[in-house]
Amino acid sequence: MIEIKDLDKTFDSKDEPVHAVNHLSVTLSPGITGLVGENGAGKSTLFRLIAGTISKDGGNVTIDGLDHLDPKAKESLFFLPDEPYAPARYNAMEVAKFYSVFYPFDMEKFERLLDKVSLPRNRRITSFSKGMRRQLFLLIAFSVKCKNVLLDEAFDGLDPLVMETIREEVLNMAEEKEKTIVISSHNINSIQRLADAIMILYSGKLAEQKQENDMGKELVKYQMLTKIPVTEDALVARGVEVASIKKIGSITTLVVSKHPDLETILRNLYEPSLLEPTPLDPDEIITMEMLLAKKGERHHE
Amino acid sequence: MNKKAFIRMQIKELIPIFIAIFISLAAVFWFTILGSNTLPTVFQNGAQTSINYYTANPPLAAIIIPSFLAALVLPFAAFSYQTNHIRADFFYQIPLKERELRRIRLLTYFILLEIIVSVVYWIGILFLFSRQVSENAASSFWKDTPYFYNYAWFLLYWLYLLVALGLHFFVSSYFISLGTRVIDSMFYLVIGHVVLVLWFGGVMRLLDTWTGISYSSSSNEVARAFSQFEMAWFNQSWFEPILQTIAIFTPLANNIKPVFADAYITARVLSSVCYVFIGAGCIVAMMLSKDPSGERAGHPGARNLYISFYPHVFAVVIGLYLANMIARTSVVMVYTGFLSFILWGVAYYFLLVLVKAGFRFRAKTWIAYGSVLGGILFLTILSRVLLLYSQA
Repeated sequence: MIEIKDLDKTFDSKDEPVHAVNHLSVTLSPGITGLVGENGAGKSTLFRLIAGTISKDGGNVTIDGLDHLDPKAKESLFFLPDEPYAPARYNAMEVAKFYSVFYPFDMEKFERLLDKVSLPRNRRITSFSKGMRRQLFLLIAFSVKCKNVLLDEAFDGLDPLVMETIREEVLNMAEEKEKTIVISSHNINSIQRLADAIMILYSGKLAEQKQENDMGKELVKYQMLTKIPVTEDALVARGVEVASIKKIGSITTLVVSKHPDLETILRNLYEPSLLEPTPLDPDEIITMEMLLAKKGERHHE
Repeated sequence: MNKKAFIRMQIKELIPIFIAIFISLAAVFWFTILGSNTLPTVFQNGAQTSINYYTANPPLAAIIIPSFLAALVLPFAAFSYQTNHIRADFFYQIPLKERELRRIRLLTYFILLEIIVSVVYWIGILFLFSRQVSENAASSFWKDTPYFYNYAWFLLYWLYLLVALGLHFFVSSYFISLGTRVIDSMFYLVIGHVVLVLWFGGVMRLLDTWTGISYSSSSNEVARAFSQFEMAWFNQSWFEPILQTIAIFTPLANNIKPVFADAYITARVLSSVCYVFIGAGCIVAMMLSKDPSGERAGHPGARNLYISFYPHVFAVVIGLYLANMIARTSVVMVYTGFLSFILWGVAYYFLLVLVKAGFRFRAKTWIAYGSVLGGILFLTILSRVLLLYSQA
């Protein structure tokens, strides 16, 4: 379990300081947590702060009760950054041996997984494609026997066939000894299918943290046929939180937060000839939650 | 984490670098031995025979110069995790205590360097010995009473070399460890050594005053004072003790008792002590300082100077040298000096154009340029006036 209290980090910049993580407090419990947020929301910085690869300006991070910089805590944490390191002239097996020096490692499992995804054992990793490198390092992350695993941009650049194996292995890993796995990815669909809980970051702050089952419960999607232009301001003025408004042809699609008088408000405002609720796609739910969180934070600011 | 395995893995990673160092050191040292005179020259003038022992010259400098260069370059590899964000992400997360990573890496690099230098050195000495054996046998004069170097001094010199090399490695490492980009580390290394040279020159000046050695034949104090910059730069460098040691060890190994004034020996001993203390200070400072935060890797660090600052620093160093030259030289040379000064100003301007990639500078660049130019001009005129005043 990873506990974060009042974590703060600002990067110096030539133009203006960037407050990448803003007094963030959160507990990452055993299971799979999906970390989502737009570019620059602070996801990678949060991972790096937890792993201790960058120094924090304030706050505390504990891993299973130990300070995150304690070597014992570090030994129980594996962080896979978006650009992982391995000596250039190594092949896949040598990279695994390299990582086994630093972390408890299941070599048998690694070899089994390597065969499963058909990655070459004895080819130098410099000749690997971006996706192959990503696969290799994910296999390493699955083979280290660390209780806490952070996977940054985990599924980016993977093909759909490999994705299934990887998804399977993430689920297997989560079942082992109550591991805490935190995954950030722009592949929202994968996050949605894997995660027990979803955390949304916006401007370095925790905008939302929900169980996966609760995601999208407060959202509704409507399709409407109207001649009157639909504006966000008109709906906000009537207490409706708007995630998205899209107009394709004469059909306007709205994603808004639930409201007891929503249909009445829409009928009164836009006199639609057609108004019907439609279900949200699974990956659409997280996107809409992110949009809502972003808007909420902006209003808050 | 298995620390022994980590060290083994690091050694494995270093093999190509150390093979390259071994080949470079061996090529320079062994080929110099091959070309050196191993026997004193014998002159026959009728019945009279004279021997020049100084022609037999064990080429000790041929091992120390390349090994010092290797010690200058190696810390860049040792601290590569500070200058590359991918390495920083990996090395800062491995389960080690704070400062343990730099200690392990530096000690591994240092011990491997010492081993390689020792291997090259002793194979070279064996080679030297074998050459002396074969050349004695081939010489009509030395056949019956063979001439050999005093090899016990080579053992002592080897120990001295290990210590000096270690100090040099750690001092260079200290400067390099200050940067979070390779260019910054290079800058710190150059500036650090220049500062040490100047500082060391100052200390040597004091020691020489105490021990009664005069470096300048001039009785003029102002001229003597100005000569110190040049003296410090060229003669009394950070490398002074090791170079002086070669001057002492070489004749000793060649069975010649060197004759030095007591004051000279005192100054050398004191300067060597000073050298050891600075080196030890750097080792302590480096071992106690923390690694910079990973986000700095590959970017200018908090304590790093921006690249735009570098041309000004180099301009100041060259300007000071010119100021010194103009102030000290004869009237005819002063004109040449001022011409050099103008050329320096123009070169400095074009250096800024090159770095800024354009002719339009910001106000603060012009202010820095004007300040450096004006400051150096002021110093030059002041020095010249002081010199003329003192001569009058």
